Amino acid sequence: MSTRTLNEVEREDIRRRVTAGLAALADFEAGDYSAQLSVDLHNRHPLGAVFARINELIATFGAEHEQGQVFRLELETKLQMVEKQRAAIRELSTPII
Amino acid sequence: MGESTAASKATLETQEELDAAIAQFLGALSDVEEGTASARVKLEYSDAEPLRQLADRVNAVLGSLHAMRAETLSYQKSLEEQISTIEKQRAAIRELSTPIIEVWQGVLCVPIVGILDSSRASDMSTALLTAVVEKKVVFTIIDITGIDAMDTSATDHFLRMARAVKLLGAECVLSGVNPNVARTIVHMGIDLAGVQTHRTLREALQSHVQASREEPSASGNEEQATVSQ
Repeated sequence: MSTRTLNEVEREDIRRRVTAGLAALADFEAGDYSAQLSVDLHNRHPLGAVFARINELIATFGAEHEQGQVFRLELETKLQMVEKQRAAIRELSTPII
Repeated sequence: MGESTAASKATLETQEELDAAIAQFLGALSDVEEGTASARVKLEYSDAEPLRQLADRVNAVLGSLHAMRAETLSYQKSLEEQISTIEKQRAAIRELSTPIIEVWQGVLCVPIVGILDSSRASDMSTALLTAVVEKKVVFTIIDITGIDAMDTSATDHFLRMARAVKLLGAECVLSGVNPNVARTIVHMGIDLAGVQTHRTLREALQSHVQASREEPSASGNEEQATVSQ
């Protein structure tokens, strides 16, 4: 493993890439689940692999968030149905003939 | 103190440290793919290091994902419970909504409360026709006192039910027709011919009892008439 000290150009490159990544993550945190970090495929920078994984994380988050919303909405509908049924049972349980 | 030295390190300086940091990210993020959202990126650098800032943000996302998965799981569990409750309540409603009472020997009463939809009408017809056959019923009263409003489809259900009962050789009448329902029936121009209606269940029952008292004498007269011929 190399113990080479990073030069100023390399550090600046990391800083620039991370700043762009942080901006995309800020968009994601603001609710934009389609936000993606820019992965420069031509330049095989080691951060590219990290950003690609972060993009996968964002996609996973978005998909699971959507699934959660589907469950939440379905749960609300079911809870309303349970209440309606309860009311119907109350009504049906006391027929006075 | 090695630990404090690592913790107090301001920024990463070497390629080796960069590789180690990237390995940290990739390790934590691949754990997410495997479903372990409790994984975190651990970088021992100060806030001045851009990768540490990125790690903090990624860890925040991982934390949110972990919390969201727990919430989704809880929704899913509640949903399953509610679906089970709905099924149980549906069965209870089906049972409660088709009470068939033998009020007199050979006389059935079917009180209807609430809303009559196709599914309920179908269940009710099945239960009623089975009871008519099993109990050798001669007279059936469908009591709609508990129904505030009735539409064309509900009226149609009653007519079909009455016809089906008649096909089995029993009489079927409708009782508890309130002014609102009567107005609706007239307004919709529905022909209830062939189905006797009564204001109350009591009247329907009285009418049947009276008719059955008259019947033996009527049949007696017929016998007499046959003999005299």
